[in-house]
Amino acid sequence: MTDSAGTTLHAASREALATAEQRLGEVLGDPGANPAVVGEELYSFAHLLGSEIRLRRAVADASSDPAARQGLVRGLLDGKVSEPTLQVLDTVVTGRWSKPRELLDGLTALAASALLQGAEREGNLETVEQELFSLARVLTDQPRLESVLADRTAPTEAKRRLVRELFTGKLTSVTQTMLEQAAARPRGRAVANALDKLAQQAAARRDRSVAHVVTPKELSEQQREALAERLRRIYGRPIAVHVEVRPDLIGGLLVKVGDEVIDGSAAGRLRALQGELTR
Amino acid sequence: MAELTISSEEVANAIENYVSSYSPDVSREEVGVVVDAGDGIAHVEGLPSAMANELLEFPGGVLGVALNLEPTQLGVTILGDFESIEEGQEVKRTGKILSVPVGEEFLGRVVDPLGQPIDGLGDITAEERRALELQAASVVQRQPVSEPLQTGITAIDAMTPIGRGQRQLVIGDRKTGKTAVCVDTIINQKANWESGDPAKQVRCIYVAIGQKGSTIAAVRESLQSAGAMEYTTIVAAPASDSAGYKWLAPYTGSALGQHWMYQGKHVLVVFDDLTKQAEAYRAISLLLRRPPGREAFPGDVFYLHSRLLERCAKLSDELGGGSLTGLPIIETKANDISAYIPTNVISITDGQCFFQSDLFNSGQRPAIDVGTSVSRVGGDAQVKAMKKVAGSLRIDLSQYRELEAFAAFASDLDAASKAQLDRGERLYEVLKQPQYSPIPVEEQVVTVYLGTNGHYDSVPTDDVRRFNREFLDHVRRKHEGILAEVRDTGEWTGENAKRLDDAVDEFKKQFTASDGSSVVPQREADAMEAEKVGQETVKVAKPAPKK
Repeated sequence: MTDSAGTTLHAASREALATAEQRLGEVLGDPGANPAVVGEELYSFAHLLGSEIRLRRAVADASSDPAARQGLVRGLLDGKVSEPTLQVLDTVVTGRWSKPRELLDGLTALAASALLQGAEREGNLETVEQELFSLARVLTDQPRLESVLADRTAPTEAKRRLVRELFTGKLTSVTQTMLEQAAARPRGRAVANALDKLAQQAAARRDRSVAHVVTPKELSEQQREALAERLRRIYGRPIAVHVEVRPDLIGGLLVKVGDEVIDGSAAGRLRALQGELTR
Repeated sequence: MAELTISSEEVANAIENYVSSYSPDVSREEVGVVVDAGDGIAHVEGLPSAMANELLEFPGGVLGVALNLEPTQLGVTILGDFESIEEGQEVKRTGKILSVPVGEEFLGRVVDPLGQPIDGLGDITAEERRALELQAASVVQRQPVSEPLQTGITAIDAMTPIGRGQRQLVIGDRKTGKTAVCVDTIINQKANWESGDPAKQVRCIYVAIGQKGSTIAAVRESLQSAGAMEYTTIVAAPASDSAGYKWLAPYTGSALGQHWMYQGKHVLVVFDDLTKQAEAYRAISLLLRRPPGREAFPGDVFYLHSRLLERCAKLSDELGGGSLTGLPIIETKANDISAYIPTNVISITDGQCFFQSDLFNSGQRPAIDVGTSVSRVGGDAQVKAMKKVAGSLRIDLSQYRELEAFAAFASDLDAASKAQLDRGERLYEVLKQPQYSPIPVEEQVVTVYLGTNGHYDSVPTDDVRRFNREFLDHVRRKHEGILAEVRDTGEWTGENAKRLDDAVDEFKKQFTASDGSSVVPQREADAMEAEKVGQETVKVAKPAPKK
């Protein structure tokens, strides 16, 4: 089972994450809570756990008394983070996680979820989703930037400065925070991948699946809608269309939904024909 | 000569027609992404609905087999050229479980483990595709092995007979004649094939695993020149092929054979050799990070061979009574048949022929070690005549071996031991047989009968083979009836034995040993009866004393 952050969670962890998600929704339902702050704070705590192995082990030790773990976290963070964050963390640390690593992954997923809920509240969830997708394409096209961001040995602060220098003013704050976080903890996987997964998570919040559409030229609004409608009929659920323009496709469309590909591009057909002829 | 003119328009038209027959249908395909690749193994992310053992297609048409299905990724063995596979490439499902095309057209061809021809003789039209991993015939679908499969090698047909549907292991060190015996067996099926009788015909499959390309070419050449290629398929996975191919090759051979077996035909499949297959499988398993066990082989290396060899069977009459006989070859190191893989395969098969390098080097070829070779089911399938005459052959030979070691230290031997040594020496001599010269069963019976009944005892050891050869010629010319009776009835009657005894006595009179002596046994003169024995007496004529 793969969660939205692209990591595998075992059964116990999945359950703990679901409970925590629910709690997060309740906490953020209170108009006094600021989702952006909660998200940032959850990211910070995840970062702390990432560097403090002993703390991570203690917090995720399912054999100890849940109340003790809650006390430990509260004692550590009291006054340093906001109350809504503490309420969410209470649920997280009293839950039962299969492995310390998975608690950390769950925490990151929760933080992203909080930020996305913030964006939803402000009404720009779709913008964030599109930004994440475009950002992932930028990184795929710029392997040097990608490798700098994915470098585990580079100092986090330097990467953050780089991101700010490049993208401040061009992205919403939510997207920028997510990018900074993805770059800060690359976990050995491509940053672009992580961003794609976040875009999917954002789409999932809008009850949509993501279709990665590659076209040789920009689609009109009408075409986009027609395509979304067509895909909805094929997959039986609403589809968010993310368009990437790649002229080398020559003509037609290439659509990727999850693990499936519908290759109707001229380039793809030529390739298939080549395969047929050289057989 | 008329000039060949084809206008460019014609060519364009022809190509257009060809191309228009290809219709690209846009369909939903599942794709995954290569995470890492190396040493013929790739890990692929995605493809959630891939099946175990499914063929996957990499860019450039390279195929792979999904072996490990893990939570987020697949472990894939690449079949063929893995140099071009890189991280990030897209991998497609084919929806096909490992299978190969099979059919009658495969006879006379050399194919790779995916059933594609590699002999440059054009395409093969298959009758159907057959999955590689199919369950073997069940208990009720089988019947006991009862028909003989003649190898044409006297030593094997007399002492470790092989029946149709049997699995007989051929084991020994490198260069002891294992392959030669199997190739001879294939060649020996020629007469059956030419008879045109489906009940006699045996289709042969030679599976070459991890062999030198030159060795495979030599085997093909010798089959071709013996006219045996007509009813033989060679499945070749030479040493240069990827481990995946070497692992699959025996299953491909077996699938081809099973196809014929279930049609009620008789098939012989030679796996040359399973040691190399086990090693290829070990490489794959280690690269896929499966836990290593003894000698670093994975835990299922026994299953690897058992499920392959279980597919050899003699089917029941309801299923057409077809058979698949297996001759797996195992290579030992320093004649150690108690190593891991040899013991595994010995326990799976219905007997083994052990080839000794010492015997081979001393000129005893085929170098079958009588003591450790055995056939557990072939006895029932042996031709009755052979069974009758070869009864004491094994015992004679093993007693000879025992005595020989003992005699090396003794200077004086009693007459009985000496006779046994003489007999054994001649039996071994007569079992020597050059390559590519299989002997029909009726002639084998004659040879073994003469050996076990002491007819060679009066022939000098050095002349035994010449004597045997010339005598068989003589029988073929003058006493065809003896051979015909064995060939047609398969029985050995006392009457026939008597005729043979007479023939050999008569032949001996005209045979001269190389030292010029006669080989007619010199009968020892009987002792005369006591009263007939006259004693020389000396009478002393002594004048009477004077009174």
